[in-house]
Amino acid sequence: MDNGRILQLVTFKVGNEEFGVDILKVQEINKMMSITRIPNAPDYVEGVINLRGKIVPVVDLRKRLNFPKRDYDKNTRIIVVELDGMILGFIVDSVCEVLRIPESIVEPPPSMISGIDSDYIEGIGRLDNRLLILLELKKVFMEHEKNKIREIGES
Amino acid sequence: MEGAAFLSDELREIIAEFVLESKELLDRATNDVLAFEKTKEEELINNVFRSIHTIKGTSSFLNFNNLSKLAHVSEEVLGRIRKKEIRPEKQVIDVLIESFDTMRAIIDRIEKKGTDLVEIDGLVKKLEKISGGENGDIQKETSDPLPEEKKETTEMKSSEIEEQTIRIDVKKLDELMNLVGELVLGKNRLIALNQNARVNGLSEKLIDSLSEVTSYIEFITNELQLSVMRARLVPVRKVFNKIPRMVRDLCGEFKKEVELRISGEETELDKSLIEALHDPMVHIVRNAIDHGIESPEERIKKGKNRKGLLSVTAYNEGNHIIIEVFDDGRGIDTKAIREKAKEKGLISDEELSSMSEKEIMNLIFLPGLSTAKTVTKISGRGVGMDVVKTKIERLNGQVYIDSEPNQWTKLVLKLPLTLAIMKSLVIEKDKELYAIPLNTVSELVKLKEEDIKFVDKKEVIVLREKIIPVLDLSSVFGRDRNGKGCGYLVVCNVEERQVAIKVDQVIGQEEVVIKPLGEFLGNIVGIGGATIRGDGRVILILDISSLVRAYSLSHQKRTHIS
Repeated sequence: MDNGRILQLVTFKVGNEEFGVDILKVQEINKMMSITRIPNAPDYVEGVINLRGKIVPVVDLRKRLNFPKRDYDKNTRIIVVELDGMILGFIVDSVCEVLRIPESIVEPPPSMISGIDSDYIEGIGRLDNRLLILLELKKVFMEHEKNKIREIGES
Repeated sequence: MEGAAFLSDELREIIAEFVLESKELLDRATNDVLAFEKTKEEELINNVFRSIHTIKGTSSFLNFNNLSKLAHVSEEVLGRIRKKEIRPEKQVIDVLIESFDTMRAIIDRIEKKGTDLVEIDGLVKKLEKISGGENGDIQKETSDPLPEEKKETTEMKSSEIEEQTIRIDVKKLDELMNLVGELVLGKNRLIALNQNARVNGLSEKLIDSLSEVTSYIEFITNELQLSVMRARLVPVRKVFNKIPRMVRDLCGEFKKEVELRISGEETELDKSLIEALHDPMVHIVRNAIDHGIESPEERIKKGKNRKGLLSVTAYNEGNHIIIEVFDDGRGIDTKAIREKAKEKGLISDEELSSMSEKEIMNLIFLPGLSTAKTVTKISGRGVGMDVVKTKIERLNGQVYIDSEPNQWTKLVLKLPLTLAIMKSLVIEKDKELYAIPLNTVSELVKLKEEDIKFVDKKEVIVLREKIIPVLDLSSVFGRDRNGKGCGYLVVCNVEERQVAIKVDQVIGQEEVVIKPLGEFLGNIVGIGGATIRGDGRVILILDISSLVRAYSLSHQKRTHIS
C-alpha cells in the first residue's frame, strides 16, 4: 500500500482497544448528553439526541462491537459522523487525539481480533508499540443494521 | 435542442418555468374542454383556445417545434369549433384530449430530457382532418394506437416528480415581510436591553422590560410560524382538477353514467399534502365508479336515477381538512367482507362477531381484502384501499368509510392542515415522555385498577357500555413498569375503532414540530417521529394506528406490518 499517502485520523478508545476513523467523516465530538431511548429499535441503538434541533440516532459502539457493558463517565464522548448524507452518532469510552499516519503502515485486517467481527475493520495501523484499529464506519452502521431493522419489522 | 446538458442556466430556468406553466394550462384546458362538452358554453371554448394559444406561442419561441405544431393544429380545430364550423361531438373532444395528453407527454419529456422529439404525425393528421371538415372519417382512426409515446405517457404519470416550486400570493408574502420587520424590531429592543444590563446591572425595571420583550417576541414568532405555514398552503383545486377528466375516462371504461359534483375546491392544504394526495384520490375515484356506482340498467331496475352521483367535497374542520367522496351506488356489502376476512384468515371468528357493521366496513382497508368479483385495471386487486390508507396515514391523516347498502357509500379523509406542526397530548409512561397526536384523542379517563376487566386474557375497560381494549405501552415497548403517578387512560379513535392507552401521567397539550427519525432507524412500530421540547429534550411521537395494528396482530398470525 505504499504510495506515500498520509491518513488523518481521529482516534478513540473502547475498552482497551484504540480505534481510528477518517477525520473527514467526523463532524463533531460531543460530551455525553441526554439520550431518548427508542422502543423496539436494535439494542445497540442507544436512542436519539437533539443536536441543535436535529434528531440524530446514536449507536453504542461498546454494544455494537460486543464489549462488556460499562457505565458512561466524564470521558465518554459521542462522535458525530456523516455517512452517505445521514448524520449519526456513536458512543465511545474516550477520544484520544488527531493522528497523521502514513498509509504504508496500515495492514489488512487479520481474520479475528479480540472478538470484534473483522468485517468492521478496514485495516490495522502499527505504530511503535500501539495497534490502531481502523474502523469501516459504513459496515459498523449499515450492513447488519439494515438486516436487523428488517427483522424487527417482520418478526 | 440536443439535450438538457447543453443548455445555459438561464435558458434552463426559462424552460422550467415554461414546463410548469404549460402543465397548468393543459390541466385547465382539459377541464374546460370537458365542461364545454357538457354545457356548450362559449366562454369555455374561448378559454381553451387561449390556453393552447399561449403554449403554442411560448413553445415556438423556445424552439420546441413539435409541441408548437401540435398546439397549432389543435388551435385550428378549436378555432373552427368556436366559429361553430365543426360540431363538438364526442370523437372531436376525444381527439382534442388525446392531443392535450400528448402535449403533456412532450412537456414531461422536455422536463426530463430537454427535447421534444416525440412522434406526433398521426395525431397531427387526425387533427388536420377534423379542421379540414371531414368530420365523418375520424371515428375509425381515434382507436389508432399512438405508437410508443402513448405508452410512455402513462408510465410517466405514475412517476411524476414533485414540483419544487410554489406560486405564492403577494399578500401572503407581504404578511411575512411585515412579521419579519416586527421580529427585527424585537431583536433591536433585546440588544438594547442587553447593553443596558451590561452597563447598569439587572434592575427590576430591566427585568420587567425583558419579560415584555420576551412575550412580544413570542407573539411574533407564533405569528410568523402561522404565516409561513399559510404561505405553503395551496388550494385543493390542484387535485380536484384532475377528477373530471378521470371520471370521463372511467365512465367510458366501465360503461357507467356519472354526474360529478365538486365543491370546496378553494379549501387550502399544505403543498406537500397536495402532492401526496393525488394517488389516493385516483384510487378512491376509481373504486367509487368501478365498484360503487352501478351500470345504468341496474340502476333503473333498482328505481334509481340512470346517472350515478359522485360528489367530492372539501371543507375545513378545526385544524383539519376533510375530503368526502360520496357515491349513491350499491354501498358496501358487509356480508361479503365478513366472508372474505374469514376466508383469508385476516380476523378471527370471535372478533368478527364482536364487531359492529361500521367496523366491518372499515376492514376493506386491510391489505389483501378486496370484495370485487372481477379484477379490473386498477381496482379489485386487493391493493387499492390499503394503499390509500397507508398513504393517508403517512400524512398523519385518517380515513374511514360509511355506507348504507344499496343506497350510498361515503369515504372520508381527515387530514392535518400541515405536515410540520401538530397538536399533541404529552403523556408520561415509565418515566419517558411521549406525544400522542391530539386528533386521535377522544377523551381522558382516570384509571382505577378495578375498572379493568379481562376478555379473552386481554385487558379491556367498559366505558359507557362500550368495551374498549386497553393497550399498555410498557408491554408493547418491552419496558419495565416503573412509572409513578395515579394513571390515566387516553382513549383514542383510530379507524372507527377505539383503544384506551394506559399512561402514568398526563403532562398537557403541546404544539409540536414533527421531526422524522431518519432513514437509519427506518420504520419503528408505534413511533411516528420525534419532536424537541422547550427544554431541549427529544420526545417520541406515538403512531396510534400502527401501535394498534401491531398489538392486535400480535394476538394472531402476523401477516404484514408496514
